[in-house]
Amino acid sequence: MPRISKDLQDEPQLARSPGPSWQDLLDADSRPVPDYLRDQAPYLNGMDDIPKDRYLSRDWHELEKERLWSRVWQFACRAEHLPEIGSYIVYTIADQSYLVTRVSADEIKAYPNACQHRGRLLKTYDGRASEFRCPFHGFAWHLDGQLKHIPAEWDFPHLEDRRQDLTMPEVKVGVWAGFVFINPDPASESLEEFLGPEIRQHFDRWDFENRTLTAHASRIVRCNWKVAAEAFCEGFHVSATHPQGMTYTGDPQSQIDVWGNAARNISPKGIPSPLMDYTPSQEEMLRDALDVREGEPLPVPFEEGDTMRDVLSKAGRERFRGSYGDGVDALTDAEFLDAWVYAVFPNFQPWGAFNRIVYRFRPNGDDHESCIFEVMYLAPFSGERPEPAEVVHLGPDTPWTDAPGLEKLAMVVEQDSFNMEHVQAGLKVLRNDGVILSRYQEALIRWRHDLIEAYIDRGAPK
Amino acid sequence: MPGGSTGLFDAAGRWIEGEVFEADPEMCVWVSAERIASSHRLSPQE
Repeated sequence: MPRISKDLQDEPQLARSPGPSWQDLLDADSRPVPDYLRDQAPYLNGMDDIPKDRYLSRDWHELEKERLWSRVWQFACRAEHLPEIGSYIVYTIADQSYLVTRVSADEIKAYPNACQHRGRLLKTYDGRASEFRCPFHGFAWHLDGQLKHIPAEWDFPHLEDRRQDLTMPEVKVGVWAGFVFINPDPASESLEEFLGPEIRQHFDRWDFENRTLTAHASRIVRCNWKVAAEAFCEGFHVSATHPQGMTYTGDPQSQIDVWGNAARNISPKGIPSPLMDYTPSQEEMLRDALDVREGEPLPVPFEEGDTMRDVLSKAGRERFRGSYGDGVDALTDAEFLDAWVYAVFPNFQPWGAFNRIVYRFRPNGDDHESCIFEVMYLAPFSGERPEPAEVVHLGPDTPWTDAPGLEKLAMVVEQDSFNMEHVQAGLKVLRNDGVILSRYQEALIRWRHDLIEAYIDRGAPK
Repeated sequence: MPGGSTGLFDAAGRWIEGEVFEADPEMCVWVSAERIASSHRLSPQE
């Protein structure tokens, strides 16, 4: 396993960005910030380049299929995607397909999505079923995986003693914060052990079970899934990729924390980037944060002496009071303002606090040079649970702004997408053997690669 | 630009015409994107 040093005395002095740190902003927060949210867990594991073959090589993709996706916990769907007994979704990862289904009010099971007669995929779309019946010859299974029906059973005397063998094999299922995970490895640790205590404690504060999908868009991107995922792991890219955000984002002052299989990158808002050569006013910062352009009025009150952090944290509390309740008054300004980008290894990024954003990155079937990048919005609600938003599928050249409900995020993600396929193409041109990562700001990228390498080094599953 | 010089660029930042011959491509992506109604996550609910 990679060496993870939290003792900074082992390392050369860690350089950090000039300007106020996120910790400095928490010191000035209008509410007390719990110690566990302030935790600092930097990830320092050397400064080696990352081999570019990990993005380009078919062989590396095959190793990921064999040794990573076959044995890691991975986010499949939200619990509300399975509202009724018999509700199911088809979860695909590389060339594997799984049925994830609700078998009772409080139990979800998952199975490899293949008929055990001649292998046809049992389902090719999400829905609700009373049984899993193969459309090819009619073999059928109960929702709990027990064999239900062999058509022309008289012609299968050799199965008489093998009926138990035809029970649908199960893969592990775990649910955390309303997110349903599966793991094909029967010997894996529990989901709780995999996640660890830190991220679970953080998300307990924000009641993610009681959130609803208000938007869900999926786009094919012409790059390896890791190229896409790595576009969202650091604030370092803001100054070039999202220059409109520099007036109000302390991008190099992002804090990076790693706890085993979970991590986060927090980028503070309401302070200008120290990379700028002038200091914007608080009103300018606010106008840019809300994309209010010249001549347009601010949609929130702003008075002389106000700061962007004050104004938007107050506005945030009022925006979410209706759905979250008066509990918003105890939450910190930081929870309404800053970008709390959490990451669960290997490919899942549920943003924390009130950011609403959820990202997932998967290989596009068996193609190592394209991926499925999903953007979701998960928001608190009040009253009866709304139906989750239907997923909108976008082609690789369809703008994110064509997907309803993503609001300004669609414009922001369009800027990120502007880079991704050009990274994939550029990696083939790159003369160096690897890509260079910064020591601190790009640590989440190194963290992910170190963990992938650890899975690969374990060898093939037995 | 300061001094009043201008340039015209497409959505990806390619120069079309004008004295100013380069522009930040990501700013061009931003400015040319279909403008979503100002609905930051903290904006008042409509």
